[in-house]
Amino acid sequence: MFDFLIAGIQAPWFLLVFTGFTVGIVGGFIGVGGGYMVTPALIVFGFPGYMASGIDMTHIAGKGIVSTVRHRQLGNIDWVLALSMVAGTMFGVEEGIRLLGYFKHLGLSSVALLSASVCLMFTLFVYTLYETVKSHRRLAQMAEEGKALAREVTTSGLPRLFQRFPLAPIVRCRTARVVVSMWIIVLVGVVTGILAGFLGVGGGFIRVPALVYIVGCSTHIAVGTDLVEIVFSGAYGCLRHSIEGNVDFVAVMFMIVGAMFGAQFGSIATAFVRGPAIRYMLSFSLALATLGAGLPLANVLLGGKMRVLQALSVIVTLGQMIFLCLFIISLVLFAWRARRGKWVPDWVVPLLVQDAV
Amino acid sequence: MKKLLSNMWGYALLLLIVSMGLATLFFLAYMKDHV
Repeated sequence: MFDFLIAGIQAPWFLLVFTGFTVGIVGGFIGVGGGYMVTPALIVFGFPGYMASGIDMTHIAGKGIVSTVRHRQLGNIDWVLALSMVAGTMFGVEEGIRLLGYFKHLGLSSVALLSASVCLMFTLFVYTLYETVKSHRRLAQMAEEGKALAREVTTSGLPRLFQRFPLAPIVRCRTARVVVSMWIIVLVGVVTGILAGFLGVGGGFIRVPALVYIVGCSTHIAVGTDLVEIVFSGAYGCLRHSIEGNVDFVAVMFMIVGAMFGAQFGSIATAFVRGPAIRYMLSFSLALATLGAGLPLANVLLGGKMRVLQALSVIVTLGQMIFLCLFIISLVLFAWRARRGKWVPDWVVPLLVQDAV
Repeated sequence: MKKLLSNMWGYALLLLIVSMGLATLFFLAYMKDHV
């Protein structure tokens, strides 16, 4: 047990290190901050809600830097795309917070927040999973036909639609190999920022699908580029929470120690897999996050009398961290086995990059 | 073991059950001791 003087509670320090480590793996792999997983976990450990949010945001900023450095080394960041989006994202976050204030003024905040979260995450989950299953099948078919497999395969026609938008300035993102109107990039930043500000999350789980299905970059580039956005939005959130005294920096330090190793592992793990493997993890994360937000919504709609639903929501959120972590580790283990010529399941072979197979 | 791993959805379900079980145990143990 460790005495957290600023938060005024006692909690085991190794749980914070472990949480940082698991969320670091997931965040580095699918390009999210993981706020929707960390905040409920910190509340279970005994931190007050406002402080859980502040600690979470501050650790996300630190972890984002570690992941960004590693993804930069892997060549997964398109700086033109990232820096074009930042201004739109920051503007969007502020507008999202104002929108939330308006809903609070109407007395609808928790219902509006949870309903919006559930609808958005469910829609993203359905589309991402549907498209990823199709891409996985195409990869398997190409492997059967003996064709060379690309690192990325997407079956969505949406990016071509958005890339045809002719309004100047048209930017050329060399690393992402995308030519698109700057307005589309800024608009993606603003819209995902509004949703992130309104829902009170970093927004990675919205931005990664948006970068893949609207801008049209590969999943690896989407993950790396989104992590740059997370550094900026996390730093801004960290500053705001610090000014308001919502941050216990000792707790943040423990979490960052775990996240430093987890984020490195998660980022490096992306080098072993093709794009659809990352999108599978993203869609599983969205499914469980939908369930995690749907249970408290059911509780609110039932008049707040079913406290068991609230407890179940926390269990689903904690389980989600462990599930994604185990799945990512198992993908790396499969890649390691395949490289040594050992048996791996048939379904995983098209998901691993050629060098690893 | 190979049969268990040969279907992606079966494997995902197995991992999910294990993860949720661990999360439930942790939640019950931690809440019981510290709350």
